[in-house]
Amino acid sequence: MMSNDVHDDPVLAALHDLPACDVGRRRAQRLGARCRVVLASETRVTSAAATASSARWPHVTGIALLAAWCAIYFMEIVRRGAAVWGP
Amino acid sequence: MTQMDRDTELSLVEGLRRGDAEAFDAVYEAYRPRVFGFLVRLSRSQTLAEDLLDETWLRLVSHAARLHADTRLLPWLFTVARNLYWTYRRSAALEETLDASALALIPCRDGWSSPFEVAAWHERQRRLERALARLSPRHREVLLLVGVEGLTPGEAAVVCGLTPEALRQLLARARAALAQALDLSRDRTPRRRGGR
Repeated sequence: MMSNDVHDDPVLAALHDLPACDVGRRRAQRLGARCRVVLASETRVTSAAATASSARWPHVTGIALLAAWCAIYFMEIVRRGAAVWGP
Repeated sequence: MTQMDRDTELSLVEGLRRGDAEAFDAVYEAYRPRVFGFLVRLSRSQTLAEDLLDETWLRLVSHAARLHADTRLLPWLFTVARNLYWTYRRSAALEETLDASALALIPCRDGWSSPFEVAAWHERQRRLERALARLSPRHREVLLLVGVEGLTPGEAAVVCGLTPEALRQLLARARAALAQALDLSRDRTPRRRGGR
């Protein structure tokens, strides 16, 4: 059955006319309130994790820069040593 | 049935990802009756449908921050709802029964032109509901998604975890089963004897 047939089919068209139904208002309000609480707490957790992750970046960058500086310094020592005592 | 244009939906998804309560309220008001209608007709039990509805919406808000920016909310909700239903069915080996209270939830339409029209419309809806109730849950599910909720067969295929071709075949079989069930229900409708 192709999608065009869906709109032309009288059986499926009859189904489309079935009315909507819903839970009671109080139950709907209670569930909505519960969901809003969960949404707010999940958002706090996610943003706290994002903040912690972004706060880690300067620390990681500092270590990387220090390591690079040490590597360059060591290579310079080796190069000068080789210039003095090398062949 | 509430329809939502794509731009509105995308902005609501963005709002949900930020944890915006107003975006949640808009989505909740627009889609709660549709998800509940799907669940109550699929499960044939108001109590079960209410429990699964709670769980579906709690899943949405728990995953809100991780939603993709282009998420289609209604298929997402139907996917969660039907997965919860099938998980429940597998674990509880749910006995299929027609829950009369579930059908009693369905409200009337507004703006009737005559009492005869009201009676005819109610009879048509009752026949349809009875016919739907007689189908297997697999058939009912695909008919509810495509026929009642207006999802495209492609969207329904994603919701049901099927290929589009498999869904088309299932839909054709479900449609034939519904047509047969409607014929049966018509045959069983008590007829007035010896009319004037």
